[in-house]
Amino acid sequence: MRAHLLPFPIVCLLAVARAGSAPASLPSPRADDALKRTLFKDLRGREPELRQKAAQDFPTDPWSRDDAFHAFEADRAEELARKQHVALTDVLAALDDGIRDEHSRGDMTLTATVPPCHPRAIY
Amino acid sequence: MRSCLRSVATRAPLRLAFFATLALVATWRLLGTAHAINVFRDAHVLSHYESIARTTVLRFHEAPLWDPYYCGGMYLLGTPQARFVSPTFLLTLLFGEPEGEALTAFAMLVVGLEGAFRYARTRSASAVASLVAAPVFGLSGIFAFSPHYGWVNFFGFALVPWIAAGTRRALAGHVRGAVLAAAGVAWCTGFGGTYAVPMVALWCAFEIVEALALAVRARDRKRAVDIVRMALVVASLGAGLAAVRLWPVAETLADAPRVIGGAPGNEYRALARMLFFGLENDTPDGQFFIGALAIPAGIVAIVHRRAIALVAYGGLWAWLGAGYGVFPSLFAATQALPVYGTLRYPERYLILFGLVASTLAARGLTVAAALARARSPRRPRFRMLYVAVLAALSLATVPLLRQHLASATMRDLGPQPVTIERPFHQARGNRLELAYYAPMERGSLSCWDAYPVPESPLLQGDLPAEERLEDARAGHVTERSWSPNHIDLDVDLERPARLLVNQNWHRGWRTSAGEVGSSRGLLVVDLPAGARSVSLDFVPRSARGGLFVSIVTLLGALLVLRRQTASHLVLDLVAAAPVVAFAAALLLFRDSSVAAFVPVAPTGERIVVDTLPAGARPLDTRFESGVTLVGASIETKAARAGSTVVLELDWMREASLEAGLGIFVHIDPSKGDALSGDHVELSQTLLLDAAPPGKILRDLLPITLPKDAGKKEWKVSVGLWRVLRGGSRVRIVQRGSATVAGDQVVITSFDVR
Repeated sequence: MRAHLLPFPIVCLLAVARAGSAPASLPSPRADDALKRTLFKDLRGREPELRQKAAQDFPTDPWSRDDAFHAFEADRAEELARKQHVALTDVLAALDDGIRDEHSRGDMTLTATVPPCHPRAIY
Repeated sequence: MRSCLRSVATRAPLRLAFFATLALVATWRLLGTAHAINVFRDAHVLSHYESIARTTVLRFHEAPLWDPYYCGGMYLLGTPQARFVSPTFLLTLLFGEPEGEALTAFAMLVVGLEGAFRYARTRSASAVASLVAAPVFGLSGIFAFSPHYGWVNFFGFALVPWIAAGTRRALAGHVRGAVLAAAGVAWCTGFGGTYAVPMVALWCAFEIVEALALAVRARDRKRAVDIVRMALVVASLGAGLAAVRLWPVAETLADAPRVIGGAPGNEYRALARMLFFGLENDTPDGQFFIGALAIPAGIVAIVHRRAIALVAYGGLWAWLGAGYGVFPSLFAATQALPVYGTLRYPERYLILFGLVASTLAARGLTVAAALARARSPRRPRFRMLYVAVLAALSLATVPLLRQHLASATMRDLGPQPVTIERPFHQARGNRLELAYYAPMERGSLSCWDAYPVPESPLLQGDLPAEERLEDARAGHVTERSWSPNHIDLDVDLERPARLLVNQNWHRGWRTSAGEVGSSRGLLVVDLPAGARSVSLDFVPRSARGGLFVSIVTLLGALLVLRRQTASHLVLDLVAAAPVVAFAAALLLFRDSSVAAFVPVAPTGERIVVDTLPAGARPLDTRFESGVTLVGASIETKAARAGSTVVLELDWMREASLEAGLGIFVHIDPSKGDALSGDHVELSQTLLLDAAPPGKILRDLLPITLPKDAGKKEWKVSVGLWRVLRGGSRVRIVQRGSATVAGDQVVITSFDVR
């Protein structure tokens, strides 16, 4: 056995073991339907204000404006997940389900489209 | 100590173990949080590409070609920043994306350290010196900093020394060097090396110039011809091996060119802070950290004549890194080259400066060791010098490792997303939370990448079925099976009808029945009447052709890999193989769907018309770059605070046009903050460069007035500026009927109630 061949694979295995034994985060509690409705209501209620704020930041660029709105929306979704101690997935799913539900009933208050992607030439 | 170092340095398994140990320490915290996801906005997108590639392979058993989960569907293989065409994808496949990401960082650090060692060896540094100096590049700041933002594809820079070393060996006549360099280029391209590949191409160009200069100085014409021949072999093999990724990426960027504006620049003092100061949040300090402890060895190398070329390299990288901050600007000159015009951050050239520093340090230590060994009255002093330089260079690893550990703790981490199994649907989504969408079987229409991803304005995030008929009364559509590259449908039509698929069109889609097309960028299929099964497949020519070229090139590379040298005929054949394969691929493979591009604004209006729209005020103001502002209009009667008014500028370009122009729009109130409407795409759709000459080009710009816009007079002025060349304004050469001031046209003034 050539001993000098061993150290490299051993160190590589240590790296794999370290990654494999990394602590997994505890699964966040899931939101029930009632809580999902509350989450959607919160996000829905804030959307006009957040869109207006984004429009003030980007008055002439539809994609940047929408992107800025999504940044505000993401902040709020994360805040809700933290406050309600639920998975962020459930907050985002509540928004998606809520938009679908409203649109199926003809209430098109929230838009389900986005302006096409156009990153700015200058940041 | 010295013999121990020599033993480690000269025996590859021990050397790799040493480098792996350094990499393990550097990534210790990264590996310790491998089950968490990086929630920085860029990380969401970049890790998504890797995750979806894994999902496509493991769950759908398909090649990762198309990504329906982002932007309404995008060409995954053609996305420049995706990194899955790389051996490290095996780690992702085996362990999952977050774990694979940490292990990729570990693996690429080892690759970078060994590469820096090998490059220093090609520059006549001793094995011990190369070993000790390798961390100056291999652990440099970019590799500590990249995981912080999720920029894992920046580990592609770890391949730079391999490519440079391979090129040097090739130029010295070793054909294996050409294969090594080409393999490095292919890996780097597949790893999403959007900066690394063009930058290393410059490095290779410098190597060729250096080799040619030496041949010319030696008046060795044959040698010069051999160098040119080998340079062509390296370039051809590199492009050929990378073709599986290069062709799709080139196709994507040709379809959706990115225009980067501005005049980014850095003072040399700022560059020094990036190289020698510690990492600090929200500043560029330390982003390319190499530390000061390599300086003594570098100084020893610089006083030695054989380091002249390396010093010149370092000067060039620093000069490029200064961007527009110095005059004359080498960076500005490179911006005129294809691809280089899209490199926004000149300071990233400092990554290559790190390799120069590492190699110089290795050379310096080698020189110091030689002086310490030489019989000379000053030998005791030289021995002290050697010990001091060796000690400083060895200690340089400590702050480098600290940078890695510090950077790993600065990351924003979140839990892995929850999986919800259900049928796939597009959603409005949110690109800043992208990692959470695919696991809940939703695509995110909200989209960002560093290039304008082709995205249809007709995509919807609320549909009960992702495939539907334009005329719902024409029949029925049922989805039988769905996967990223393949959709099976049962269609029953009473009359011919158009099928709408809620994804973006791409020329690589083909259908088993009817004809694939694009409706304002949406994927559609025109079908005849009758009941039938319809299969949609994504099989783009660039993927098939690219794979074909890569395989042919690989066979050629394997042919010469067993030889130390090769005859001119063999070299010429190997260099020609990728070109012939590419020509054959063009003939063999075809895209079935070709859509005529009809420029339409996101709001649906045609933007290329023959006559000036009704209501537009004729202006006929001509700019010197071959563009005329034919007319303009703005409806301001209902303008009030918070409302949106639409400014229409009607342009016409001549057949000859200065490339890279942008339109500036200044919206100035009588008091308070001005608004800017600067842009490069007419109606967010069409670049002036790509617009047809002699037509009216409508540029619709929505302007949302601020909440405090009332009781002010607003003045709108427009003009042209050179986006790609430092931002200077384009001169007006003919005023027409417009009011002109300072090379800008005053369009209108209006009061807001």
